[in-house]
Amino acid sequence: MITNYLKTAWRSLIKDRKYSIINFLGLGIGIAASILIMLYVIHERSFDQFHSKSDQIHRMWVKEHVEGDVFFNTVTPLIMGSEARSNFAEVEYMTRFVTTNNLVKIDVDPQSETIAYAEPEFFTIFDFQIINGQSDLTEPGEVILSEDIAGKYFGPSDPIGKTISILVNNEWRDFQVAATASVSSNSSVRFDFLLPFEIYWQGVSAGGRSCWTCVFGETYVLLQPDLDGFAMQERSKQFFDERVSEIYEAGKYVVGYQPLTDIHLNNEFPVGIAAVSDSRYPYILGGIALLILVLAAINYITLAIGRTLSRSKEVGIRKVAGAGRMQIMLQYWSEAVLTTIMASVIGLLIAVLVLPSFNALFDLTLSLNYSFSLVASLILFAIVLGVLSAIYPSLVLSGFTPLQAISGKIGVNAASKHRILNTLVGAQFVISIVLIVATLIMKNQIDYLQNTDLGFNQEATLVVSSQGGSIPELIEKSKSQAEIFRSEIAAMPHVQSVTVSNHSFGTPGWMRLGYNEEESGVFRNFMMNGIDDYFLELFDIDILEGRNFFSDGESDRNAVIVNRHFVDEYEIEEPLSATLPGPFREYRIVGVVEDFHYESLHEAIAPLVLAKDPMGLLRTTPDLVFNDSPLPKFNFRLDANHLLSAVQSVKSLWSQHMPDQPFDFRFVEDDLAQMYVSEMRLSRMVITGAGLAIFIACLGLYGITGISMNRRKKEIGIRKVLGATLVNLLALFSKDFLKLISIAFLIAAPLAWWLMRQWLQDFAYSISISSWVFVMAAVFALLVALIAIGLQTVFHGLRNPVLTLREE
Amino acid sequence: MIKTVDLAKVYQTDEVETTALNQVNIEIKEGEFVSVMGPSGCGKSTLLNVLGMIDNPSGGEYFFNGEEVGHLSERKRSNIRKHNLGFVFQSFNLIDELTVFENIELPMLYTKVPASDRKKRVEELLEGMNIMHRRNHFPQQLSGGQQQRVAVARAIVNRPKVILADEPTGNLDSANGDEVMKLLTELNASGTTILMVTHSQYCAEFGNRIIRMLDGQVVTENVVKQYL
Repeated sequence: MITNYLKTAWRSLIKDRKYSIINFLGLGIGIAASILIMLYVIHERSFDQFHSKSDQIHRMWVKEHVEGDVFFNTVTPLIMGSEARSNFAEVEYMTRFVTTNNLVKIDVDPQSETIAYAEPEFFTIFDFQIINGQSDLTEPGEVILSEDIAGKYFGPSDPIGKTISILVNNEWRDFQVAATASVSSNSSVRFDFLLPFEIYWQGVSAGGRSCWTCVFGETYVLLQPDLDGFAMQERSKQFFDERVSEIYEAGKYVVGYQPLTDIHLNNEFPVGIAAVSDSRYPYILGGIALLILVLAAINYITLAIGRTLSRSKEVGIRKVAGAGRMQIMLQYWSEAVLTTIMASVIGLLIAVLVLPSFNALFDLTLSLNYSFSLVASLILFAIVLGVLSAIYPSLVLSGFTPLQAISGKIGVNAASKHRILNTLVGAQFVISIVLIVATLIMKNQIDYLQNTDLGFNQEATLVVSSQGGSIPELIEKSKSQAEIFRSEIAAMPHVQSVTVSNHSFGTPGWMRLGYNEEESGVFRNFMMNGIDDYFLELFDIDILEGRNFFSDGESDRNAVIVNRHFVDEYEIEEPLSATLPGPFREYRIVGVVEDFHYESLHEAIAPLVLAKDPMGLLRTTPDLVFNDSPLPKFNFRLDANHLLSAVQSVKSLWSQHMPDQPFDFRFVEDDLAQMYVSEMRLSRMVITGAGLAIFIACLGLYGITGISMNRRKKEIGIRKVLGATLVNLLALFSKDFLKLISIAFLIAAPLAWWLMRQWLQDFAYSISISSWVFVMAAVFALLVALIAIGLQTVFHGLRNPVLTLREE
Repeated sequence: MIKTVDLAKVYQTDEVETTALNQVNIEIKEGEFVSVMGPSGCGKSTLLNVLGMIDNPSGGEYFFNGEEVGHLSERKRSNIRKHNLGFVFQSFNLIDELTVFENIELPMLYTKVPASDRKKRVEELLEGMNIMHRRNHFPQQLSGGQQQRVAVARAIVNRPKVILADEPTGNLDSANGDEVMKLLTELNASGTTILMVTHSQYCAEFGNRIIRMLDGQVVTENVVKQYL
């Protein structure tokens, strides 16, 4: 029997090629999107699962409650891990994991690299596979390299036993490569160069080693089996309360344990060293894939119902020949499953072809493994999709009496069928319009992010960081180096000027200095950047009041420039005769600049202090937080029309004067764009989804219009004989669909408005949603629908009416 | 074998009520070949559909093999239909997506005849109808006469007790029409009861008895020849 079903199904698919193509294409695209997104979701969910004891591994975190503020960190004090390890039997193993940016050289040219430090228990806790050599992180002269970095520095040759020089604690030291390890792409804990923790420990002051409020790196612990992080937090609560009792009241310094496998997708925890992903992406991508599949399934349903007339004769014959309702339903289910299985093959092919672009579009490195489980899950998925899509059409088709079916008189429940068809096509347009509106709003917001006046000139600014020394030392050195650069730049036609600052623009966060207000005890903070007297000029930052710093070295040591927001927030009436608040009173304000966006537009502008001598403020502040390294940066303003030769000029200048420093440059414009990479990625996802959605919806509309016109071909013939033009026919056939799209728009518009308002709330600065976005979406939806209907009208309208009437 | 008592069929569409069958009382015995004649719209096809259990009556009683079947559920009627009745239609009603062989085989799939038996029976019929060479062709590749032969073969493949034929020669030329009538006569001769609706006096006379209908009622019954 099943052979007969499949044979009929196959021949029916071949016979109705046009509808089969619509179904295969729509379902194929939906299935391809689902395959790609499943790969992504599986990859995201597989993070850190490869460690055999992944359920026992936890990352320690600390939450400090200070005067109403909460300072939550996954980067922890160094003392915390060692105290936990030596006082709790529940902590079976512990390693601190710290990273620093250091210079590395093999022959002559030093390069800046991220160096990781870990303790001997690192390899007991984690299952990183040692590929070559061996090391237990106890020998201070040994380094472990990742496979990638070993390839970068040593090519195909065996790196074991070779020497690498690394600048640690301001001193070049030689390390012998003891092992190479494989660092999986789905690992949160990553390293390229892994040194024994002891090396890092030597560079930390005694105060730092025992400090409970200074954070340095991550702390990983292996807890006893069956002990979860919450239980461990409870057990260690009193212990940590006692250890910090001199600084904090009980309960104000909370130490906790986050499961390793929770790190990658849990955005409620602050980012530490471990790379994290945006936990919304799997849901958003999954949602888009589901919507595309729903649209394709709706096409299947509407086309199947639309074709009931042409299929009814067959149903009638089968019923007369003795088929029961269930047998007819089974036949249509087989047909649907055959369709979805074939669409799955097409989907798999599309997925294979599109995977490289998908990886490029979303910065991923996914690959398809043709395993039994992939094929089995794809078949299962196709069966479920087929059965679900065919429930309604098979119920409709099998429900006719044999006489109704065989005589083609199946119009008795046409009204209810019409309503269902309209609802399904309408639902497709609701989804499409929501996605079009979302696309337009996202595009506008991203344009706004990229083109809004940030209050400074970002154009053609090249940034190079200085390295290899302590911050105070480097600041002084950089300032005098900048003077030398300036004198030489004068002779370079395409390099305009240079300035030195602790932070440039487009960075993850400038320094934040905090203090407790004496009168109220309230914790307050402001942002800070150390600059020279060329900074404001190079970046075209407007001075509202007062002056820039003097160019001589000493007179402005205690002078600062603040932004307008600082004056407003601290309610300073006469800024030029005021000093900084709190412990910074010896610093006087000499100028006020217009507010500028030194952080991304997600963040509101906060009070900012620009200091010529940042070290003085840093030594004074009781609390310091920064996400961007304060190592001094050289900002070169280049001629945008001769960028290439300007970069070459700066490079030769750099190698001539700073031969021991790598010329790792970046552009401010690129860094600023990087701040919105997450939004750009999201918008790319929605744009792709919207494009596919509208395409599939229109395929469906094209198909259903064709069926409707085929059924009304006699009417078309009579109308043509009576003088109807193509435009008259288009108006006749589009009227109902246009009504439907209008209703869909009325449902979609508020839904899209609400969704996009939620999204825009992520930004401190955002566009207001204008009504033309909705008008554009409606016009676009109408236009594509008219094209789909128009194509069918032309096809049917151009047929000779005599032939059509004769057929009837 | 077939007996109706005051059989009625009324169609209700919006506000119009059409009486298709009115107080029809007929009896058909096993082995008879009965022709039903009458003008268009007289109710003869409706009578055939009701007797073939693909439509249900609005009133009266219908006895098939002594069992009242007029008011059975579609599932039960389907069960009786597939084991006892075969249908031949004017428009052949073959499934376009199935080959000649598969069309003839179809009723046996629903009566769960084993595959080897199905093959044997279909081949016998193909041989008997002289269309063996067309076994793998699709209906649209056949002439009208060949299509109707396939339809007859499909109607008899399950060896039904009764064949219901609705204008079986209506779409055929006279030569092909004769061939189909010959087939039906042969079937009747081998013991199959036949009820045929026709416009053609010529075809009707192949039967033993002619029932004439007008406005949903049986008006006369003529015996053409005594059946054995």
